[in-house]
Amino acid sequence: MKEQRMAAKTCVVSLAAGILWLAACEAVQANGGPFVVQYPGGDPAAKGVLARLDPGLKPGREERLAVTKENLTIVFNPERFIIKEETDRPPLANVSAEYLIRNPTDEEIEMDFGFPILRGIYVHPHAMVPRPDVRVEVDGRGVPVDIISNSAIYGIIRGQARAVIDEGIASDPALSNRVRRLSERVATGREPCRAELAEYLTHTRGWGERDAALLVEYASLDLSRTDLPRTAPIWSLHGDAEMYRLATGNLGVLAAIGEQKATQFLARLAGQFDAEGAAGYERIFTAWGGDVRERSVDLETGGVRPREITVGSDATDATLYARVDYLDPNAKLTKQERASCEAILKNLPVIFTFAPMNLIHYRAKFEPGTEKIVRVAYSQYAYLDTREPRTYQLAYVVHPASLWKDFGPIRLTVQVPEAVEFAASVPYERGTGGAGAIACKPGYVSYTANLEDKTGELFVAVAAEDWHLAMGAKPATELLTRLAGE
Amino acid sequence: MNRREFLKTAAGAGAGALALRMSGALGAGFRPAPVEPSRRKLIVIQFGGGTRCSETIDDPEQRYIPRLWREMAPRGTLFTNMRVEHRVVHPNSTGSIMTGHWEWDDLDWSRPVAHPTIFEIYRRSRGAPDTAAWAFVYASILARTGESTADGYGRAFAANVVEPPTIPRATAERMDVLMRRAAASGSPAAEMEAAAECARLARTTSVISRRGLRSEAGRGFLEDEYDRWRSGTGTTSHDAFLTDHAIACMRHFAPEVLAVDYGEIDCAHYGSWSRYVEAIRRTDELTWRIWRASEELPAYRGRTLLLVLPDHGRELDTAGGWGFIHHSDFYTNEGADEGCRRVWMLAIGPGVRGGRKIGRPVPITAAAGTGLEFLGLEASPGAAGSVLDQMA
Repeated sequence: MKEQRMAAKTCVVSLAAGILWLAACEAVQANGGPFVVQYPGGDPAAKGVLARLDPGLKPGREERLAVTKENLTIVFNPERFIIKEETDRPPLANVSAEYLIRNPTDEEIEMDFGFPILRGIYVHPHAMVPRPDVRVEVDGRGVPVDIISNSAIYGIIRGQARAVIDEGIASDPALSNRVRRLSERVATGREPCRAELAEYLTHTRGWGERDAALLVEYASLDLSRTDLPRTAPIWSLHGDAEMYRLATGNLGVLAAIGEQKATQFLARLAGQFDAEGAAGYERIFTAWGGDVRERSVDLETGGVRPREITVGSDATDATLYARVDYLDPNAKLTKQERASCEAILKNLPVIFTFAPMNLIHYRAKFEPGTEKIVRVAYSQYAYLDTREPRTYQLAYVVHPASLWKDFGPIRLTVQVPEAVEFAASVPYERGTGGAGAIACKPGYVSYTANLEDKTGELFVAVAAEDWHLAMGAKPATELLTRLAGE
Repeated sequence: MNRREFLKTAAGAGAGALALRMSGALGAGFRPAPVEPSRRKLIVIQFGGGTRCSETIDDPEQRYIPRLWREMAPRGTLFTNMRVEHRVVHPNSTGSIMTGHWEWDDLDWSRPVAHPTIFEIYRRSRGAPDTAAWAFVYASILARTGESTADGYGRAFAANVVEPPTIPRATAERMDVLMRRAAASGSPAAEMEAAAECARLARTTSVISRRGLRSEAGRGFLEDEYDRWRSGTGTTSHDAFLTDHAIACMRHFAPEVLAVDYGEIDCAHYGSWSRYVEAIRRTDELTWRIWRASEELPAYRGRTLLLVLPDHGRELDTAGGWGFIHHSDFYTNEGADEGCRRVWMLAIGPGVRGGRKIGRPVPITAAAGTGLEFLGLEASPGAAGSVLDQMA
């Protein structure tokens, strides 16, 4: 019985670890499949950013508007809507980034802003339509926010890629003729056309054999089919017809291999025609500062180090391992379509597709010579680091500030309950009041810092046991003793 | 048992198990009597998925390889400078270890390797059935390492190849939704429930490839093992799957040539140091289980050469670099540094001197010739030479 209780305890420990949808790895053959690892816990990936959203979905450099200053406020709060009493819940970090933005020009500037969210963003448990808890205000008034889902990002990439591919084909009459001849041969006489097209691409245009094979399949497939089941969109597409259209567009037969591989396929081909213009998902992810390295600030040293996360023993392993077959075995494909899908999967290069990213999009207008306050607020669960003493951590991407020609000081204020040990990856001071718009909560203490170096990421952390005690949990030693039945 | 009786027993067929029980008493220089080459067996364990020396043999405390370092290395010879000279990517290394030649420079892993594998050479030379040669590989990209396109070899002499089960994309998407919802709740209990449900889905919706099985006996074995796994509730680790079934295979068929190619260490690509070193730790434990089985099963005891080596390393930690996360761009070889290229090999078996370390550079391709020489055979012309004589 004692052993069972110990196993249960290990289970609880393993549970306290983070979620990561490690979406894909090496998949070179049709059945190679991505190596998937998922495990429970908090996600270190969700990180706030302010940047101009360029049409390619990357952050753009902004030289007209100036950010006079930024007040960044982080409050470690308990979750307010707990249905079932649990003593091991992580803090819900409420993040408020308030930017004072000036338009020094004599022209009105209307700008699209992007704000990537990866994982761990808070979704209100009682909302009729589940959406991430993200709010944007300009001078105190809420502005509409679009959530460009991961699927929609893929869809936009596909749309742009197809335009590049088709333009590239059209610009080369010899190529265009060969593609047309192949696409017109529906049932018979295809092989000579396929061989002729591949020969032209490799010998005349100098393409590699694999890329040539991909274009042959592009010319062979019907991307207008709409009867194949699509990747199921998640929360952000509910009720948004435009986003749904984007997310499901330019798939056709490729729906059978899934949006991720379909997108890689088209982006890869677009890159053959326009290396700079074509943007694959990974480039967008990286441009927003996406960095898959899980890191934490050490509570004792204040230094940044790899995150430590224990997920239990083999006997109680809560980690999920799987390899995924890209090609849907139930997809209603002709023999020819199936062969094309298999050829695409075989000839696509290995990529490392990182965490799914969703983009928050909003638009703000700045009249000439004016200054406005843009406030972005969101909530996310802090993620656990299991190095003793255990901590809850939050990361914030500072790097996009470098995309602005003028970006003033960043004033950081973090509020945590008194008696909860705190650490940050930047020098800070303990105070009693916040410099930001949010007043310090009763029973809380503020820590403040000025961020001089606007590169990389900021990490803040609180001691996990202090947190649970502050939330009314029994001391860990007592809890563990009870679990162990001693 | 007095010392004379002990040494007498240790030098006989039962030496392995006894020496295991008396680990530490024997020390270096343990040399049991040699067994007829035709009765010997070879086990190659790919400590795979890309493992740096800094987290294994170069770690002053060897924190992540306690089994290998404390229990196995004292019983064997450790080559500390094995070299990955061509592309740093899993299938290429695995194929090269199995043939003695650098394989798949064209990166087309859908075709068999170009040179005869240890399995084929053994089966053809000895007229052995398919059940004498097995490869348990962590993914389909390694599935063609059990056979070659070499003249006179091929499927007729290939190994039985077992890959872990795969799941349909729809299951992966369903799992994602479940885990995402649970994470959004902030509840560790909800996440654990979701993980349990996902594990159930991963088992029940899985499929397993039978393409690598060469006979009804092989297929029947896999069916039984797979059924057992599907109805189980333990870890979904593929490396654990490979270990369990490799040991079951050792009990059932006692193959003469067995390869177990692990891969989950490669989860390092996703950026979690903890998962990376935890995978090394698990691989250490699984490797130890195979070794224990080879010491305990009469069919293997005292007649088996065990070669353990990573397929390749991972990049060194440098400013601005990816470090442990990646192992070079294998299309261009960019980033293929010493962290990627230097690995190690541990050899344990009859006639192998214990506790010895050899630091001179040896290509990983030497594994094939070494294993085959132990079996009384030769690798194909042009293959890397054996290092068996350096272990004595």
